[in-house]
Amino acid sequence: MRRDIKTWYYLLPASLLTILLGLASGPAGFGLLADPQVMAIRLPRVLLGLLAGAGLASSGAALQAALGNPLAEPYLLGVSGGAAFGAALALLLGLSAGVGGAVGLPLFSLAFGLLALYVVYSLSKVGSRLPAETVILSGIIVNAFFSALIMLLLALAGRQLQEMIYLLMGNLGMIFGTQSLYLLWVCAAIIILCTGYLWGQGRSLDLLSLGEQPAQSLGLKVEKLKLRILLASALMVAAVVSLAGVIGFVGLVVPHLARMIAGPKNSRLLPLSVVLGANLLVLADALARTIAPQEIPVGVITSLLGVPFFIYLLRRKKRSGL
Amino acid sequence: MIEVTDLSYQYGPLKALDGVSFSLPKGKVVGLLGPNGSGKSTLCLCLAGMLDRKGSSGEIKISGQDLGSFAPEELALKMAVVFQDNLFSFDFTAYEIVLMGRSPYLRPLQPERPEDHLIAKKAMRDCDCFDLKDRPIRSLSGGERQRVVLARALAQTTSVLLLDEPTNHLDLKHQKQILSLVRELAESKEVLSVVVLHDLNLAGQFCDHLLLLDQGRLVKQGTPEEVLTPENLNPVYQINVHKIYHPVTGRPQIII
Repeated sequence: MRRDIKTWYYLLPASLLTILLGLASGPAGFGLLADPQVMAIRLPRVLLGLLAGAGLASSGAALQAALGNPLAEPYLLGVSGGAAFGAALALLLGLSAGVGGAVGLPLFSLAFGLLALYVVYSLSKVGSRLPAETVILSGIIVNAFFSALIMLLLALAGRQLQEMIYLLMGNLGMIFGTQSLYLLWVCAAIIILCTGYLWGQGRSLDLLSLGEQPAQSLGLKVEKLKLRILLASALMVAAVVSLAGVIGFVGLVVPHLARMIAGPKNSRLLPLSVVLGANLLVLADALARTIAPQEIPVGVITSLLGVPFFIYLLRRKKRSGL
Repeated sequence: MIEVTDLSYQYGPLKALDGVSFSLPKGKVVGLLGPNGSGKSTLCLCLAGMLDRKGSSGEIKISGQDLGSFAPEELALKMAVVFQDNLFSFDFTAYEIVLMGRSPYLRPLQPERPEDHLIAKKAMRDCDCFDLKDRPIRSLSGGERQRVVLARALAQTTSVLLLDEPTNHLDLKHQKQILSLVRELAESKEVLSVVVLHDLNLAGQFCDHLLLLDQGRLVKQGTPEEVLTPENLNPVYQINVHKIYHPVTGRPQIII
């Protein structure tokens, strides 16, 4: 039997366990599944964890294929940083409450996430290629730029400071309060639609990962397609950031894990990435809530786990001489 | 099959092609010769419809239809291209790579049909890389990869093949094998192949028609007998060459 199919047999029951574990774990240890007040807080948290993990993993997998670069990731490419700046700006402009919070914040997030992606894309393009090194370098530059802008906003912020800091550290605890609960459904819709679109483009993603010229010679309208794929990826990241802030490295680590199991074919890789990502982020969040006496932002956990993985990938890449 | 009229191409101020015209019938193997930087790859990219049309002037027609009017998905059914460098970022198996040659025939979510598998397997056998079928593409040597990419082009089953230095990285056995295969396709299926070659002797041996480029100009075209002469080659390559004939095939060969 194909390895990825076998994995699904384990993964689906494991997902149920993950959700239960996510619901049951808290600062006071495990339990309290029966307490409706606690569940009213934890259920959206677990839902957001599933969504954010799925969205970031799906976006990472698509970006890696579309840019033909296994180190591509929304966080490293500055998309998350851009989206976070957009969200912070919306906060500062007082757009976090009411209609503003429902529409303005995600829109700001999306606009600046896209801007970041566009800048990285045009900075790193050499001829028709996007070499790994220049993509990473451009990502660093764009990230640095948006970090500076975010710090400027932090300096200007008054009562929004706490929310902004949560935004930057990544937090699944509904940063903007329960009023944004319905945004969860919007976010879910965005992630399902975008991932569905990307899955449908699985073969095109395979071809794109060969590079622009081979992809075009195999019949793809490269520019148009790439634009749509980048748009779908950025849309998911913006949706996640406007709810949970910046959570790094999920988009890098998860597609690589999925690739080890399912191989690089995107029609198999994407669904596996989505489910693995959802599971891993809920688990990381459960860890964040139980590992220390005080809750740790989940973005800290994913980065602490993600950076060693990134180093491992870089070293392996160096050895293979690519 | 391919008609090029007064084609020029400019990269900014640099003129890479300058008033090139030729006409190639189907079923021929055409060699594209010239020193480094003479415009071979640019011509190849122009024929593949890959270059920005802003820098180009002149006309390229494929089966009487203007190249620019083809959508990529239409062109992929007519012409397969093998590029010079083939870098892979992900470890698809060799077979998965070859099967991608069938994608112009498939709708987005449609799985490969039995005939697609048959065609892909045959292409791999023809390129002597069937035994590499389950190997990750990045674990293959340059020559093995070249054969896999060529098999992908064959799997596209097009009437035009555009090959930019297909013999790069290949050992003698596989150079001969690949070019013999291109010849055979020309004879049995009337495939027109345009092949960029650095090796003048391979060109003399396997091509029906040669195009000799120098500094973006087409300085000579014709049969190998007509093109491969010291009078044509000496000024282009700036050395003195001698022409001899192959002891068995009687085809023109160049020695220095």
